[in-house]
Amino acid sequence: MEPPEKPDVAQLPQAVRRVLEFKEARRKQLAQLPPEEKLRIIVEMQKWARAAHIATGRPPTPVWNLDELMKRAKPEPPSQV
Amino acid sequence: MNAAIRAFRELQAQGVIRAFALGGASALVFYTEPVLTYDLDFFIILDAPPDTLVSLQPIYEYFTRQGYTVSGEQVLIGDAPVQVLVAYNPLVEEAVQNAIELPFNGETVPVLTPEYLLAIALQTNRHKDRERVRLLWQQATLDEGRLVDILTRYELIERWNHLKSQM
Repeated sequence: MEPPEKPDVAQLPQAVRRVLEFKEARRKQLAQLPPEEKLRIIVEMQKWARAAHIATGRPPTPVWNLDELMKRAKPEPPSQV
Repeated sequence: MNAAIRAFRELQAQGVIRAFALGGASALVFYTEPVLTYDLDFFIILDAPPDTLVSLQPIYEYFTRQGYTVSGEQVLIGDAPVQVLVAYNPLVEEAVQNAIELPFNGETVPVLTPEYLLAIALQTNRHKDRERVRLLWQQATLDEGRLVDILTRYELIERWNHLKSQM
């Protein structure tokens, strides 16, 4: 399926265009965040998605355990022969 | 994720895998705004001669020994399914070989470069892949010369030009 045609933003009311510009700038700011912070945001999105699924009677979607995910791995003890 | 990174490095040291790198939507956290995803996709190149039957069993056994739950073809780390994907074509294999080490949570992780992520998404070409292409094009810092080289060699340049004209 082909992607939809590019909407003609110039035809939209100025107030809407301002909102779209703000959103675009916000997304660019988000792109600059450190990956660890983006992972936290993804987990927040997962919580929203899960709540929406439950609210609409669909099977709940998973939510990552961020603490566990960010846990630094401990080196393995040397294997004994 | 750090646990997964360490596990893959161990497997590499043991000679089970030749190389690995984070790819898919989870790799986008290094280049674009965060996007909703449920999996951590690790692409691997196995250290096996060509034309041999590859088995991921040693990898799953390793994770099981480390105390992680292996469910089907996924390893659960902090409720995040870690998907182990063998590099399935020459483009993905080249992408893994050219992955770059990026800092993450006090360590480093090999991550596919944005040029290869874009090329793989373009090759896969589902709706969500095209959305990833758009995000990478608009937000990531891309080396356009390298991108065009990859897209040309893998015959994706026409698809790229078509998609770019709609962005």
